[in-house]
Amino acid sequence: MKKLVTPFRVGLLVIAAGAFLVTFVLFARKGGLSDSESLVVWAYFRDASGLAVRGRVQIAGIPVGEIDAITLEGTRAKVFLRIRKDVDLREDAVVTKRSESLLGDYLLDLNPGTENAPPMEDNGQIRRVIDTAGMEAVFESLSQITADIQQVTGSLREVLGGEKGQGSLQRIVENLVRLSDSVDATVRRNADRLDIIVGNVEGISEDVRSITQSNSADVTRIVDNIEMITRDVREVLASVKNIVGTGEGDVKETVASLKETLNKLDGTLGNLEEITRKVKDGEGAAGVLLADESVGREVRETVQDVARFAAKLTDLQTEVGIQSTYLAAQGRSKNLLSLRLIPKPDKYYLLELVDDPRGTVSTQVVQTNPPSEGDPVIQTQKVTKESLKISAQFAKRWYFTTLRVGLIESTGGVGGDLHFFEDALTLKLDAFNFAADELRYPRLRATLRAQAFDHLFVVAGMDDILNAQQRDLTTQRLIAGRDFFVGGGLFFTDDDLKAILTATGVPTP
Amino acid sequence: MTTQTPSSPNREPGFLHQSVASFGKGLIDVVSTLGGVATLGLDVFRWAVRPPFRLTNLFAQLDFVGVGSIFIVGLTGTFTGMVFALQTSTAFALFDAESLVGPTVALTLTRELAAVFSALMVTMRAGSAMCTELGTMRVTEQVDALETMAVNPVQYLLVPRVLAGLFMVPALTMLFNTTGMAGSYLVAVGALGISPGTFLSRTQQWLAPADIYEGLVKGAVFGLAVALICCFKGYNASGGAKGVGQATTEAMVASALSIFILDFILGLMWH
Repeated sequence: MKKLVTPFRVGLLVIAAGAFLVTFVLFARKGGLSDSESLVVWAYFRDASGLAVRGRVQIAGIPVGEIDAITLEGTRAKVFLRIRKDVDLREDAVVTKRSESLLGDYLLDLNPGTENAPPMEDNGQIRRVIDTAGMEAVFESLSQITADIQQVTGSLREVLGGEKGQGSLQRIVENLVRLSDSVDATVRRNADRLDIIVGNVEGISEDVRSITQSNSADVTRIVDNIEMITRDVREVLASVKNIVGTGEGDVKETVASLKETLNKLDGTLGNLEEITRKVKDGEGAAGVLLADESVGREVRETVQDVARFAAKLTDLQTEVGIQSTYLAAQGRSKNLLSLRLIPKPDKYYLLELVDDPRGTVSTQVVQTNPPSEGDPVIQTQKVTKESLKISAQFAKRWYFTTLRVGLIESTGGVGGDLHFFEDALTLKLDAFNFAADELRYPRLRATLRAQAFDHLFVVAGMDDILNAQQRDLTTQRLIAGRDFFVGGGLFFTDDDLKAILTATGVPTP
Repeated sequence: MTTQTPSSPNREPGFLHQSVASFGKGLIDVVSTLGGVATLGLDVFRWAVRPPFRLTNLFAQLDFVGVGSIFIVGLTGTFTGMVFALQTSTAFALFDAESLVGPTVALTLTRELAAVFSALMVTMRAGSAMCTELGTMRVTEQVDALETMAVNPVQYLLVPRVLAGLFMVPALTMLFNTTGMAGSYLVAVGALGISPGTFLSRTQQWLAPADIYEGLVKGAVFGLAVALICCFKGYNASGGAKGVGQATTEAMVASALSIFILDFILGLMWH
């Protein structure tokens, strides 16, 4: 057996080595092209440096052949290319020498030519050869650029490098610093005034825009009138010229009259100057309004407050809804009208008017014997009667949870909502009526609300989960205890109401 | 009458004299060894083609030289490929040419390193054993005993060893190529992030069958040279155990030197 083991081991090694050899040779041979699957073409290059035998020939980055041989012919390099036969090579093909990397390797980009040209024969010549500038040309170009940059920096050094240049630069910088400091101080000192002025200008421009927009016809008419007036004035001046030029006496009268008019105008301008001085000094109501900073600031704050208040009003969303549910044990329906005021997306105020068939329970103390018959006999009666109940709750939402607190069906209570599927499904839990004598536990209600369509929803759940059923002895009405209910409702938002009112109109008395 | 005694003719030779003598002796030794190895080689091939053919002996040596060196050659190949890929990628990264890592490693391994390293591994592991074994047989007169029994010691002892070196080193060279390329692929693609497609396609582009044949031919020549040198030194050992050790040391040095010198000569001839 040992005699067989040794040759077997040697045989295994030989087989493995042979397999490796065959694999390597096949792998390496795939890099080349056989004569049957390729054709050889050639081209002259002025410079074949960087090209090597078996170097790549490619079209659009895809290898289609390789360099087969490079020979010297005269002063030119004759490069033989072995190209795959499936490449439709034409006689107007173009071969371009291109740098592959910074190492100086080159490859050949082949443009196979146009369909109009005849097909390239085996051992044909590619006549159009482009020796692309290689890295040497790039470096030469870089060298020229560097020389230019050196020239520029030299000129700058001559201008700015000496003492004179340094002094100029220093003065320029100092002036810039002083200028920026001055501007900064001015802006800081007059920031409030600037704000007021800008505000006033904005107000004026808005006024002007509103006037021109709303009275564009009037403005056009005014412009027409001005044009007419100027034409008339021109005619009048021409007449005056004619008149003045007619006689010396008339001229004197005219000049005297003009002097008198100028004196009156001078007086008027004096008054105007006094008024503007007072305004400038802050005297009088107009002066205080225009010159006092505190007044301007107060006016601005007032306007801001008004704007904030108006924004709150405009942001407020309103939702009105009605809901009707059928109470299974009660055998009657419960109706509800709700108003939801939503100042912010995460909080709202809920006002509800509830018509509950359970009614309200009130306790009455009744004396059952006449007052004349000794000690009074006092009897306590609980009276159930139908009446509307009121809910008023404040709600705040965090992510998918909403907590409510306030008045629920005319008693104190709290509630919580869990929202799922982008509020399409809501689980509501309400706990209220904590102090009712007839109830052992507070009234707990679980409601599942599903909103499949806009404005429409369905509800189902259980009311008064914790307490056993109690009925009024006379009317058999359920006044307490668990009861299943199912129902639906609809609601409208601000936008819906606007649309409805726009379509139907507001009824007028 | 007094007579003056002439100066002694046995005075110590000078430094120059010693240097020239040492150089001449070394040169004579080298040429003698070369001639002895060549003569032994001719003897080996003459006896190799003459019956009886002792296949058992041959397979035993093939197993010892080839199969026994698989592990050390595979390990050396793997780490050589890994280190080479690591170092070349660092250098090529400076020129944004990491795609050349695969071809560089492949060409270097197939043309040079695989054959050289495989031959060195065989020299260290099997050549030293051959030399020691033959030297011990020589100093203990077992070789003479073979001749007494009319068994030609060259045919019986040397032919299987030389043939094993001749055939097994090329096989180990292929193993070195494979493990080396696997190691370089692991480092280049797995660790350095070079694209596998780029690594393989560029290797395929630049690697030619001639490169692989060159490595195989070198491996065969190295294997033949190493086996002949080791057999020659062991076969001609003398001087007891010390002489065997001396012969083994000389065989190792001569084998390693011959590998590098032959590699250079073959490289020149091939290209």
